Amino acid sequence: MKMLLTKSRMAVSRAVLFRSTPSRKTSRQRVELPGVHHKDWNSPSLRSYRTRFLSLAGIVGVLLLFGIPLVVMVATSLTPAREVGSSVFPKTLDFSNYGAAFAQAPLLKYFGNTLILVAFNVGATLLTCPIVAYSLSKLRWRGRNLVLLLVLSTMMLPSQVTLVPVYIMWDQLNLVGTFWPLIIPQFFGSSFYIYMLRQFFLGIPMEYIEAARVDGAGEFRILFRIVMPMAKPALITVGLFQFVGTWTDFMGPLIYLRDQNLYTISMGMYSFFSSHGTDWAPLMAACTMFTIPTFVIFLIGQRYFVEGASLGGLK
Amino acid sequence: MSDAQISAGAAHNTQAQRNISVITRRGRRGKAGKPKRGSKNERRYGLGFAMPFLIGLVLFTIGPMIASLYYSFTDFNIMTAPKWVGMHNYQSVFADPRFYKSLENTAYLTFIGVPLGLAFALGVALILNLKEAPARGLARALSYIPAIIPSAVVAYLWRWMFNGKYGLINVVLTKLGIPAPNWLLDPAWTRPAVILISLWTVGGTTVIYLAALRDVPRELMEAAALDGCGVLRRFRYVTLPAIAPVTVFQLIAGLLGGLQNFTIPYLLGSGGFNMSTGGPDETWLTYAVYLYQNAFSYFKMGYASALAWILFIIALILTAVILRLSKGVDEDAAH
Repeated sequence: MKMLLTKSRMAVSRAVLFRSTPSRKTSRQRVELPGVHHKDWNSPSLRSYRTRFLSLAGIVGVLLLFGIPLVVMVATSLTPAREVGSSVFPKTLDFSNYGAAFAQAPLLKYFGNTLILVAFNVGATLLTCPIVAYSLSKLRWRGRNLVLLLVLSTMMLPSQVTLVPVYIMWDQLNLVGTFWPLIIPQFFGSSFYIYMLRQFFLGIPMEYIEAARVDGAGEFRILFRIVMPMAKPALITVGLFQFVGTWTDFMGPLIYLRDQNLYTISMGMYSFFSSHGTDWAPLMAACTMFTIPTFVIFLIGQRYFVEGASLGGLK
Repeated sequence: MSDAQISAGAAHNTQAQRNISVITRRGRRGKAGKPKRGSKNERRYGLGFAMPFLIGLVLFTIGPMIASLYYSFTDFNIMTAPKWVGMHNYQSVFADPRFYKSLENTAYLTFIGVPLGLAFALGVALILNLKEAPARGLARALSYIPAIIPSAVVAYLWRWMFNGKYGLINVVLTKLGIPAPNWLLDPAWTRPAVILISLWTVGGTTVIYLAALRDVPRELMEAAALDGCGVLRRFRYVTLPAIAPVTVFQLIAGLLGGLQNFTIPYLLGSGGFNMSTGGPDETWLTYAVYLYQNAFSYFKMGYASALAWILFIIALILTAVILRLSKGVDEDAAH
């Protein structure tokens, strides 16, 4: 594992070196010069047209592949129950499916429960992970590399390996059927986010921290007042990932939630489907409603999702 | 943890590499790899700040793994105390046809689905990376959103899409005169259906490939173009080697994720509440679904623990094998 990380680091770092050289910048500018672009556009060569056509075809393909299921979902949700299946697009728009969905299941409650879990999980993650990441990046102590190795190896561990004993533990604590098994573990940090934040913290110059220490600031103060404000993009990225993780989680709620009043969206959908198996129109209405918040989150956090995947590099 | 999360970590290494070299130059002396001794204060806070993780590690990983090993040698139904049965659980596992069936299903979904998913994600990323393409922002958003909607929504949406009679896919296939398979009832098509769904939710991988493509050295691409390399040869000899490390990491993350494939097969196979049947001919009985069934439907905690340990060993072997096979990747990338 560690070996691999080092390897990919080496390879990708070459790319970064290239990226930061001035020649790359100029070449990029050159390409984006409007004049040059214009020339390309007007060039009568067959190849240029072919490229344009293929790009267009590719984009249309991507839009259709990923978009059609979403369109079908919304279209079905607006189809009167009698018409479902007879045509893809409804002849008359029927919003009653949304009312039916609300009438058949406490959707708002599911939504609220999910938000509670999301709030606790994101809060816990953003509290614990930076503390551990700070220790693994900015504090020098014996055993640090060993702990880092442990962080990396737990990232590789399939969650099912510990599923049974952890469940038994919660059962013995009499907490199965409550939110606690889905909340408490987050307060101990998850290795992936710790690792991500550590990588980001490494890029914060030691000088800031040394200076604060000379001024007499304690480590907590340095972390919360200096390091965390500087790491805002990384923290937002981690927060978003945790949000999506909790928002889409199915196995956790499936195992630990018993009471319908505590169901999350995923569990609610599951019980909804189990009891209204073939009522496709209201079901798709519920699906649509639970997809809309995702759209909103994506639009807000778009930049950070991509940043999380690319580098989160300091600029 | 999702695959996307794991793989996002890979992309982060770029920054880290720079930083690590900085640290090595400045902060470390003596034996490489050991942090320089900090002040007494730093040492105290260092361990203290790492404590939440270490306590969590003992409570939620190491402790449970030891407990799991113990349970795997017992007969335990959670109501009564565990009863020591020695190797009995492991013997039954290896004599259990459903164990092999679940292994087969998991292997099918993983070894076909994951490479296919990587190739598909790379293809989408290449399209989204084209300078000439219009509406790239919209396409990027649309390709990512399926990856972040609740998995239950994904499962039910596709149960509708794959519906044998009214589902869009079969309606279109029938219109085109192509024989429409019964995706959710015919054992020959149930597993391909799961793979198709996984392609739709491949957005996380696509984003990582997009980031990797942006880091492909422009100079190399331009030099190759000047030397007369066409699009395909540039892809083969410049792009592919440059993104190879990312691919290896994604492959590991994907395969480990594939071993844990649970939600979609479970929800596709669920007949009623808490009744996941494993689907037609048990083709949706993945390893994780089988483990779940044993633990939470049959309350065979000992048996499930044995399955968990076998899964752990499979994951270890798989990781080791890929690391071994990918040893040459960086050397290739250098050419």
